[in-house]
Amino acid sequence: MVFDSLRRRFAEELDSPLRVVAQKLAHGMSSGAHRALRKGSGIEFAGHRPYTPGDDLRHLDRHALLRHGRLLIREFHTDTERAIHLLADASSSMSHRGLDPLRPSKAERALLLAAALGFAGSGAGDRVGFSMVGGGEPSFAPPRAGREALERTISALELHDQRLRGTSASVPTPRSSNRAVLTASEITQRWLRTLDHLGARLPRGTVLFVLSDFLDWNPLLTDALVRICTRGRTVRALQVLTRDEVSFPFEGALRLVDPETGQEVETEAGAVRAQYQERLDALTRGVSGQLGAHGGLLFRHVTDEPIDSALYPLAWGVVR
Amino acid sequence: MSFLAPLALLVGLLVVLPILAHSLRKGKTAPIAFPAAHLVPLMSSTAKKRSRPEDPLLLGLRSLLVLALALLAASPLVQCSRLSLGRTDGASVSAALIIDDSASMRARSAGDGSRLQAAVAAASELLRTAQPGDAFSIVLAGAPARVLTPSTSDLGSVRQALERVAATDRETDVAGALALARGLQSEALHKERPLILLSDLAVVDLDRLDLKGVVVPDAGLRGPLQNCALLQAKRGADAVRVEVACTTKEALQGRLLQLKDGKGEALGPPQPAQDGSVSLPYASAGAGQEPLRVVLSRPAQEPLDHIPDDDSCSVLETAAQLTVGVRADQNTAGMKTGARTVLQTGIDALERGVRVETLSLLPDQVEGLKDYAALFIDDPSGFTPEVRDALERWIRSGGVGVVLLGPSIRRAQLGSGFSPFLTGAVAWEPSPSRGTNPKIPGALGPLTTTWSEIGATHRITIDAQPDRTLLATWDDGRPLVIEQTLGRGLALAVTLPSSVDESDLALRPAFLELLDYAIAESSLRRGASATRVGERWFTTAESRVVGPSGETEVKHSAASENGESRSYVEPALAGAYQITDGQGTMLRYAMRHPQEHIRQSPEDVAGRGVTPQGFQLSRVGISREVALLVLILSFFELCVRVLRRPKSDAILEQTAAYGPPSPSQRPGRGDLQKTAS
Repeated sequence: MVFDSLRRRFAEELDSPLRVVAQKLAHGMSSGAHRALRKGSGIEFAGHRPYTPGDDLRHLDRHALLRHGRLLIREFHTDTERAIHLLADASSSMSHRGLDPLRPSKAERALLLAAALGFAGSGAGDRVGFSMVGGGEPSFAPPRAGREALERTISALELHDQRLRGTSASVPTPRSSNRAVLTASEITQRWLRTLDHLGARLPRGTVLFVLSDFLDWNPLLTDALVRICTRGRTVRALQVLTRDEVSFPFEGALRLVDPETGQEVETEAGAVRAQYQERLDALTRGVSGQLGAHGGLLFRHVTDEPIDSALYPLAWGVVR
Repeated sequence: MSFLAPLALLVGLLVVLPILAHSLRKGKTAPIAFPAAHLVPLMSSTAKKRSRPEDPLLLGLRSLLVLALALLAASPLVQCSRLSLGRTDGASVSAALIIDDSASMRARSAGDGSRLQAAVAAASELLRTAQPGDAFSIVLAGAPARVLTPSTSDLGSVRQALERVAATDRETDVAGALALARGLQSEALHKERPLILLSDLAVVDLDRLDLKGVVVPDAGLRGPLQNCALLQAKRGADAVRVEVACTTKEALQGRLLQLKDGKGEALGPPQPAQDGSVSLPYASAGAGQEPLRVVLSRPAQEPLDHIPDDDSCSVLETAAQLTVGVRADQNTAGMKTGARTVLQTGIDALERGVRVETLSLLPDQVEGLKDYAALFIDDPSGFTPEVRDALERWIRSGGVGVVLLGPSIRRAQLGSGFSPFLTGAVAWEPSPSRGTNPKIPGALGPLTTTWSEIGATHRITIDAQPDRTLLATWDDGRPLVIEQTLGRGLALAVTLPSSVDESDLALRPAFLELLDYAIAESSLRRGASATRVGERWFTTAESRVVGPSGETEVKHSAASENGESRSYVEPALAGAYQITDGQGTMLRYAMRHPQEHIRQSPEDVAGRGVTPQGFQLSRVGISREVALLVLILSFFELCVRVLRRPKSDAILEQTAAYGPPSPSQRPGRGDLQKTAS
């Protein structure tokens, strides 16, 4: 019965147009205003700071003055529109559906989440931008406000989604000429170019949503990502994985091939399962730690989980 | 092992295919796309494992499967000692199994089963080689021959019928069984209709048996017989007379006869057994009431007795008084000291309690003889046709007739004869012999040696008499006493009269033994209390019969023209039977057939027309067993594959059950979007 329920849910996600599902998800979210990066005259208390001449005396904390004898100014968040930028990983590794072909691939799930965030942000009056790594030439659409900008972003996402439809990560063979096998260095360079580009172009206060499996991640890329977390910009990353990538359910002798790099590994599943999971967790912890130190967040989402469980942490930065 | 299609063994060369496949698969395990492959540690031991052929157990099973298939295709035949049905062109057959369930089939070798068990086992082996479409019938050759199972292709019912075949004390009736089986086979539509005879062939007239075309497998049923049997025991006034028959003197060595009561306790001391009649002294106030048994004991080791079942028998009770008729001339056969004849005096001396009546003339109607159990005719001049007919009908109905021939035959009238006692020419001639051989007792009993030197100057000379048994002979081999069984009766002829003027025949103990034998036989026949095993006792349908093996089935004969059906009991075992019907309870006895327990089976039946089919070693197809092996191997191969399947395959199969969505079957989001726009 549980399997039937999941099957219906996944079928609905896969069979409906991307924008329909994304809109449905976005409507399910409360479309409140974002907190502005700057503190101002809002109503939500943001903290104290020492008084400096010229400050509005209406914000002087009289209770603190009477209690501590210090002049402290009460600060409040300012509600305002801000830019959000969606960075989706469309590389070959994201086409992996796991052992269950019924479930969406990591890329499909990532594009759907990106579209939902786009709809939600646009509904709140935010500017929405879009970038994609892999799946062809790197694309970049700067954050823009308005319906046309949202339509451009959603159309780009739908285009990639249509390309991914029905495909699954497969073992690269010499005959599969349409699939470019990249080296780890090339992948890193591709990511670096994109991240540096975003670091240079994204406006102040932008919230960058990164949707990737982070499996090809390395300290260079983490540093590049962290560099974006300046000028009031925030990075919220979602590590999208399939269940087999998390639990490594294989048994016996295996020959595993990385669909992106073509790297081949022969191993014994039972013997290396714990070691693999440790490596994966270490990789995730590394990225999460660096991001956390710079105000960013990294969540993990498995494609067999409900999509809501990924959307809300991304939007509000907490797990509901 | 031989093969029907040896070339098909070449299929076995295909065994290289699984070996090749498993060898090629080493190191060529299907790759699995896994984006996080670079996070998975490499294990060098896995690569080493791949240098070996993959999954040796599966490889072994598959190789065996290929070899078994090759074997199956070649149709293997093994040479074994199993009996099997010979068939040409592979056509189905209709076989008639004739199983001898006579008393001689009870014989068993030391430590082995009986001949009957061997015959049933051989029949079972034949059934095991049966194929669909084969039909079997079972005919039992114990007298009277009977059909146990008519021809049927339901092998299950045939096997069940085989289980019902039990040992009996019947006489062998192979001729009747063959006739029955041939009748059954004549109705079969099969091309091959073998008659398979499973018998020891211990029959009187083996040479007369038509064994042409009969298959007589050598199933270990024949062999030398060493046995002593208690044929019957009859209670007299103060003794129990026991008839013992032995194959050889060695079989009799050291054996004792013991009379026992109904509780199994010994009555009196044991007596040494001897071949023939033995009297066991017995006197009891309750004589005639207490059931008695006689047991022929056997020393611990020797001699060997192949049929231990016939070493005991019930004692017959003869309560009814018999009437014996005597036709003798007082002038020639009378006693000098009285008005009685020698015959009357001898019968009275036996003290058997019989009533003796003198006949002045022999009646020419059988009704005139019906009251007599035995009839002694001394020195007749001949019988008219009417008398001969009356005598024969009377004897066939159970009478025992004894004729003592003498010089009166010279006064025989025209048209007279001595049938049914003798056939052919009869002459009263001077005797070159003085009597019987004093060292060789006759079949009548050991006392026949007392008939030596009986002073006979003349004797009756008769032609050779087929089908007659010599009970005593002159020392020159001529018959002195001969016997013939006619129907239920007995006809005895003595080649000397009872007259003491002609010889001392009537003055010797053997004469009393002769009289006693005749009267005892008449009491069994005319008394209607004892018959041979296998002979029917007609009774009522409501009768309840309890025999030696418990309750015995009351059978019903086929309805006659007027629709009447007679109920009867056919005793299969020797012993006492208690018959209870609406008129009360009566006791009857079934007696053993004498020759059935001592007759030797022929060593070889070759040349008697039997099918020269060597059943010792047969080529038996084992394709069915090999096919079963193939099935078992296939099942195990499947089990091993399922057990060895990786978990990932199991997950894939689980999802496949719901039909994984394919791009062609599922509308794309882009397509729907275009349609909507």
